[in-house]
Formats: sequence, structure tokens, C-alpha cells
Amino acid sequence: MPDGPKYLSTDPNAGLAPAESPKYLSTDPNAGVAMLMASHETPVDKADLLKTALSVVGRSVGVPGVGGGGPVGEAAAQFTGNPKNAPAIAAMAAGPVTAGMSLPAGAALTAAAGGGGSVAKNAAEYFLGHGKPTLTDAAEDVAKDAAIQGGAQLAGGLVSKGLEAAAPKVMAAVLKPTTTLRRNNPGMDIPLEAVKQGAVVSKGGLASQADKVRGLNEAVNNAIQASDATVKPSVAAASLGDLLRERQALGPVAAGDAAKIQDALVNFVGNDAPMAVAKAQEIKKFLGAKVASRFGSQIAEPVSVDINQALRAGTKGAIAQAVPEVEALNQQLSPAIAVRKALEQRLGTAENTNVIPARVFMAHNPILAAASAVTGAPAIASRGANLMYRTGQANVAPDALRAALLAMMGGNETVGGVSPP
Amino acid sequence: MVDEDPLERLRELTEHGVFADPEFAVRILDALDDTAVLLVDEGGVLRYANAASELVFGWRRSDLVGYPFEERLLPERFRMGHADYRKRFFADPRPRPMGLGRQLRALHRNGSEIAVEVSLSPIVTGQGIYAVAVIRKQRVHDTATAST
Repeated sequence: MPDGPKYLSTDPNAGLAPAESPKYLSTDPNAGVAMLMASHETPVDKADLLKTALSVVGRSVGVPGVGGGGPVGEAAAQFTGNPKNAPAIAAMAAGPVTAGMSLPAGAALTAAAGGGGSVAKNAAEYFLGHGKPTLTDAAEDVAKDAAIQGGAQLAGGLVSKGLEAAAPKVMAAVLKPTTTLRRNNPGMDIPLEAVKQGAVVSKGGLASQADKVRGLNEAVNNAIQASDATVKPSVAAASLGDLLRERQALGPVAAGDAAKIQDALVNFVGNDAPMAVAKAQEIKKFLGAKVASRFGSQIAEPVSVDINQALRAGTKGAIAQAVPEVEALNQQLSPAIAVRKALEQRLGTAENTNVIPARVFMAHNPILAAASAVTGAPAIASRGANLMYRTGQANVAPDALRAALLAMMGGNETVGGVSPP
Repeated sequence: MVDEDPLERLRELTEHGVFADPEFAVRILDALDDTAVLLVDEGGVLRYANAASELVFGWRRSDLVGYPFEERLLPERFRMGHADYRKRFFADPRPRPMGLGRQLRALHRNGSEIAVEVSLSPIVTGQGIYAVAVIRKQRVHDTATAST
């Protein structure tokens, strides 16, 4: 047998409580359920536990001088007396739980021993008396965190990338943004924006998104009101100049439009006296309202809409240029509005986003069946997409999603090309 | 021994949807932070509770699973007739939102009543019919609206 990592014990008795050891990294479809249904109620004496943990670590990791008797007691006292040892304790606590499990879990120990924040915190909280009531509970958390951190390192970020990539796809399937919405927001990936913003496809989710848009609008207005910056009309009308050149290039056929645009330009710029940004914001809103009122109606002079639209966009740009804070807010506002509109459209067509689809799962585990059915409801699926995105984004995510995906990716044999002993 | 290329597995998962994998779907349910998901059998016994159930109801999962949900999560004043509702649901199982137009209440471990919204759906499996309930606490302003 080739030499392999020593932290991977295959001894099923190596764990503190093998019968209850959580199978976070198992690919057995029933294992997760068994874990979920398991009860961890047995209270255990902490000193004994620490001794046992150290003893197990001594057996499975091969720590010199640790394995029972006097050295165990000394090590226990030493470790519990010094919170700085939390990372090492974390690795030790994770050992029993991950013993006999897949390579990522074993590899997690090395990462944990290196000192992961949440791993250390969980272990320290338990061993120093502030944590979970039983060792199994604490060790579950420790092992989970360690597996997530170590596994993620071992897989070289594949898991994070996988979750990040899958999240907008799940959201897209739920949100179903319309072609019109996509066309009106060129270059914007609306499902990606939705997961970035944690949008939920439900009435409550729409209300939250609307609140967010309102809040951003208020922030824009507040920033403008508080600013003493000014805007020159010629800067705001720059986009009108672009429109004029575009129509002039069309020749005689657009001569009428060009004349109207030129008149508007001259009138708007006037003597080019600077105006307060608050005044410019009023003009922008006025122009926006005029544009909105003309869309979809019979318009005698379509060029007037083009003029108002160009002036509005130019004024918006000039305001952002004069008040940099507004520019930053606008960058959040546009996607927030697009997501709100997507939610409005989706909720207008979905009958009830909270209703779980009726499903029949013959000869199927009821819990897995329920999970499949529940994640089919838009309100839950969109929450799931958000969780996946957040998990993928975080460097250290204290939840089971990354570990689950890692286990599904790597099976029990290998991840990232590293083989077990 | 390498059973499967992990990159290939990742590609499959992302292309076909991770939710298509039931085990991952269970993890998703467990990672939800504000939505309780419960599985109840025909006898009214809780067979599964996700992690958020602990946050919503105050009970540990081990104190929910295996116990009658009416005893654990239904305010006492509603328990009397609820077994009949349950029987009717299993006799004609179909998805439904509950309590349309009225305030639903659930019992917290500390004895207080909490305003909730509930969606109920049947799950038909080879092992029988189950009811899956998705339960969220009502937001404060939703509660205020509902009571006016």
C-alpha cells in the first residue's frame, strides 16, 4: 500500500461516536437524510471528550505523545488553557467525525489545522464551554466547516465556481426575464443581478426589491440635495448633439428632425449658465415623465420623444459627473430596477409562487421527494439560487452546500486529482 | 481509483440543474434561513424538519421529528378540529396555500403564537402519501395589513 496522508483513518471505530457520525461528505443519497434525522442528545463530559478527541487524533493522525494516559491529560490541559490552540483543536475534533470518510474530508483537517476562522471559533466555543451542548453537535459544525474550507482549497475553487455558475441558471429558470426586458437592459445579465441582489420570486420578494429601489432613489435625491455642485447645460445637451449629428448624416430625408433637434439644443443650452444639480435633477425627472407618457401612444412628432430621451440621458450623465456619489448609486439603481421589473412581470404570470407543485414519486424516499418538490416552487428555488451564489462567493461559507456539491463532484475517491492512500 | 471526472460531474450539475439532484435539494432546504419545511405523514407525525424549523419554532429538530405536529406546532385552541382537516387533505390531496384571507398562527416552543404563511402540498411516494408544508413567519407589515 503506498504511503498516503496519515490523517485519513479508515478505522470505523476511530470516531468518537461512529454510529452518529454525520455523513456530510457521503454521496450515499440516504446518508444526508440519515444525518438530518439523527438525534444528538447524549450529554458528554467535556474533559473526557477532549481526552478522547486527543486520543483519536493520536491514533488516526499519528501525533507523537498523544494517545492515552498521562500525555492525554497534559495535552488536554494545555490545549483547553490556551484559546490560541483552537485551530489545532478544530483539526482534532474534526478527525473523529471525518474518520473513514472521503478524501476531501480528510484533507480538510490540514486546512483546519492551518487555522480557519469559523472552524477555530466553533471548536473554541465548544471546548471552552460556550458552544453546542454535545460533542457530536460541536464536532458536526467543526467537521462541516473544516470540510468546506479544506475541500474548497483542495478542489482549487471549482466548487465555488460551480455554485456561482449554477446560481444564475437556476434563477433564470425561475425568473424567466422577458425578451423586452433583456432588450431594454443591454449588456445586463438580469438573473445574475437577481442572485447578486438576493431577489426572491414572491410577493414579499417583490416588496423588498421595490423597497430597495425606493431606498436607492432616496439616496440619489439626498446626495443631490446635499451637493452644491453645478451642471452646465451644454454638458447635459451633449447627447442631443450626438442625436443631431446622427440625423444630419441621414441627409434631406431627416432634415425636419435635424432642424427640430437644433432648435431644442439652442433653447436648452441658452447662455449656458451653470445650474444647481438639484435643478438639473428636476429637469431630468420632468423629461423622464414626458418620455414615459408618450411610449405606446400615437405620436405626431416621434422626434420629440427622441429629443426628450437624449436630453434626459445627457442630464443624468451630467449630474453623475458633477456628483460622483450619484454615479455609484446609479450603478446599483439600474440593475435593481431591472430586477424589480423582472419580478413584476414574473409575478404577473405566475399563479402562486409559494404553491409547491404536486408530484408523484413512486418508490422514492419521502424526504428526498419532498426536497425535490419544494425546490420546484419559485419562491424556494430563487432562495436556493441566492444561497448558492452567496456560498460560491464567500471564501469561507459555514454551510453544507459547498460540501454537498464537493461530495457530488468528487465521489468518495478523489477530488482535484489527489488520490487517497 | 477514479470513478468519474469531477469537472465532468460539475458540468453536468450546472447544466442540468443542481436541484435535479435530490440530495442537493435537501441541502438547499437545510440552508434556507427563514423558511421552515416540514414533512408530515397521514397520522400527523412529523417525519422531517429542516434546520430553519428550529429558528421559526424554537424546537430542536430532534424534538420535532417523530412527534405529532398538532401537539408541537398548533396552538391548543385549534387542535380539536384539526385532525378532521388533515384527514380531508389526505383524502383529496392537492397543493394549496392555507388560510387565504385569514391569519394563520403557529405555536412557538416558548408558548407564544406566531403569525405564519403556509403552503401545503401532497407528496405521493412508494411509501405512502405525505404532506409537505412550507412555513414562513409573516413580515411585520404583512401582519399589520392582515389585521386591519
